Parts: sequence; C-alpha cells; structure tokens
Amino acid sequence: MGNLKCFLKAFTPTALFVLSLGYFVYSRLTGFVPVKLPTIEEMKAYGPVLLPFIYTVTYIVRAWAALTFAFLVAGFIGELAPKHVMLSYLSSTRRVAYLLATLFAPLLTVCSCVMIPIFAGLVYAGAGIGPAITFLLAAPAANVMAIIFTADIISWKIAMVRLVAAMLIAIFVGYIVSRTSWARDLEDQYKSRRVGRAQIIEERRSLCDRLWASFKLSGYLVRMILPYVLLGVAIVSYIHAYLPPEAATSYLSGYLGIALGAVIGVPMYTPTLVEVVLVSALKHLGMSPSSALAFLIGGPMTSIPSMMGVSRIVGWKIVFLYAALAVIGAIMAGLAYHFILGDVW
Amino acid sequence: MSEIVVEVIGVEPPCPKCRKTLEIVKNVVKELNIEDKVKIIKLDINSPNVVARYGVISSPSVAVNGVIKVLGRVPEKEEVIRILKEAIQSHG
Repeated sequence: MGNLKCFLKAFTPTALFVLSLGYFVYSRLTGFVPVKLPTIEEMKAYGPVLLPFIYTVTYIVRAWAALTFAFLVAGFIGELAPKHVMLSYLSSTRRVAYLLATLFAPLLTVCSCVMIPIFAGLVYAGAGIGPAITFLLAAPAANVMAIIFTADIISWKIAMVRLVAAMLIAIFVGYIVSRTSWARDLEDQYKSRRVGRAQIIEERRSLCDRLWASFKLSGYLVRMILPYVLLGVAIVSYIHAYLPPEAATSYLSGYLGIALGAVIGVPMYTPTLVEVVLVSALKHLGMSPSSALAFLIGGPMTSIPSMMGVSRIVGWKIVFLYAALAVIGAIMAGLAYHFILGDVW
Repeated sequence: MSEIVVEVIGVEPPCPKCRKTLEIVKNVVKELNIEDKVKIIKLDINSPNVVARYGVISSPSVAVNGVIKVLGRVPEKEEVIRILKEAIQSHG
C-alpha cells in the first residue's frame, strides 16, 4: 500500500513532465500548431467583450505544454536543487562570487519571495554588495520559467540571448556598483559583523516525497502566477487588436525602439511570463527583435516591488544606480543584437 | 523541563509560503497538545540579527533550538510532527 502511494507520488509529476516535454519537442520539430492566433481583422470582429476570452483560450491551447513543462521544471528545481550547499558557497567565496551568483540565482529563486531574503542575507553577511546585486538582477531576468516560455512563444534565439545577456549584465552591474563609494560605505557597515553559520540538519525525505513536494510547489507557483498571466493575456489582446501597427513599427524598432524597450519596463510592472505574451503580440505588430530583447531584459530587472524591497536594505541611491545601469545594459544588449543578428527573431 | 524553541523564519510582511509554514507549525503544536513545552517565534529573515545568527538562508525556514531543520520550503505536516517529537525526546 505504502509502495503504491509512493509510486503514484513520484509517477504523477514525472509522467506530466514527460508528456509536456514530448508534446513540446514534437510541436517544435513538426511545426504543429493546434490553433492559429486570430488575425487582427478577426480579433476586431469578435468585439471587445469576446476578444479577451478567445485570445486567452487560444493561448492556453497553444502554450499548455510549455507552461506545464515550465512550471514542473520550476518545481523540480525549487525542491531538488541542493539549496543548502549553494547558499554556503554563495556566501563564503569572494572572487568567484559573481559567477556563482549568476549561475545559482535562477536555481535558488523559483519564487520571488526568496529573492530579497537571499539578497539581504548576502549584504548583511558581508559577502559583498556586488555579488548580491548580481544575484538580484540575474534571478528574474534569467528565470527558468520565463526562458522556457520565451523559447516557445517567441523564439529560441531570443530566449538564449536573453539568458546569456541577462547574466553578463548582472555581473557587470554588480561589479560597477561595488566600486562606488556608496557601496563601500555600506560594506564597511557590515564587514565587522560576526556572522554565524547556521547549523543545518535538514530532515531526510524519500525521493517520492520529494518529487511529490516538487509537484506541490509547481501547483503553488501555478496558483500564484497563472491568474496574473491570464489577466495579462486578456489585456494584451486589446493591445494586439487595437494598437495601430504603425505605432509599433515606428516606435518599437530601430534605435528608438531599443531605447524605449529598455526604458518602458521600468515603470510598467509586468508580472512574470506576461512580458513574453506582450512581446509576442508586439512582434506581430512589427516590433523589432532587438527592441524586444531590450524590453525582456530591462523589464524584469527593474521591477518596482523588488526595488522597494531592496531600498529598505541598501537605500535608494544604490537602487537607482543599479536600475540605471541595468537599463543601459539592456540597451547595449539590444544594440548588440541589432548589429550582429539584425532582424532575425 | 526545558522548553523547545521553534523559529519560523520568513519574510515580513509574510509571504504566502511563510504564512502557511507558521500555520502548519502552530497546528501541529496544538494537535500534539504540547503548547506548554514549545515556544513558537516568528523571525524576519531580512533582519541583520537573523543573518548574524543563521547566515544566508532562504525563506521559509524552520529552526528547532537553533538548528535549521527545514530550509527554503513549506514542510509537510508529518515532517513537523516528526521533528517536534524528536526534539521532545532528546530533551527528555
């Protein structure tokens, strides 16, 4: 009886994982699309009441596999990644701390409520503000779910460039911030503190319990994120149908587009994954890939809720500095894409 | 009889996961009828003092008598029961 329960606990998430991955790969390889997005004329014909529903349903049918896969992967990572080991590496080493911060950030912060505590921990523990900022910026922009979703909805190229560029920018911004006198003052404040290392004896659990826990974490993420995604998709449907394409082609392409893309993300708080849907709609309207990239990098890095949380720990001066540098970084990434890959999505 | 201190370390204001963790711990203590032996403390993970004691950890975490037992996740009810029973035994 116990064995059967254990089997089911381990089997459910694994089976869903294989199923969604299989469908995901199959639809990529064959170009299979269950339903096409309606054209702008069709959307206008639906009228403003029906449009958001049809648009949202179309999205769910198109992207269910990518979404399921993304949420399951996030659950696996959140539950199975050796957090204890990663956290102790992150707070103890100095020279490679920047690199570790970028590499571990997406693995440690599946849920945004973990991000600021780890940031605060790194600052207070005297691990250096540079790696802490790197961590803070890399986590949302290189978010595993967002990358998978970007790859499915927009393109693999944009997803990969988004990931790599976000990591490089995070390192660059963290390093520059750490060189300022503001950062040094702050570091001096916490340098002399004696930092205890927690004694950690985690409860041991069987693999099936852990897989089941990861599945529950996926479920939790779905409950937290999906309502916002659906609401976001509904709002995006209006933009897709009613924003004149001329506006997208004239403001969201070329150099102006890159700059605007990087800057709009600052005041506009888009919940995770919604930025991808928005870009996909703007892509149909004529946004250039380099502007899209700038937006996809700049937006998540400068989210207002996280900036407010961080300002309580390091003050507004440092927050403004890192946000400005992140926007510059996003513009540079957009420019680089523009010159190297041009208009290829 | 010495007291068992259970610290639930989370974000302040509490995030949903931290709230859930605190709720589970409270319910278990009530169910096991050990309210007089166990003291539950809610700690803010973003405070320098908590970091000074526990270093960099992720939320929510549960510590029993200064030892972290659950790191960065919501524990199962059965787990908390096991942890608390063990703590009571070792304290005699």
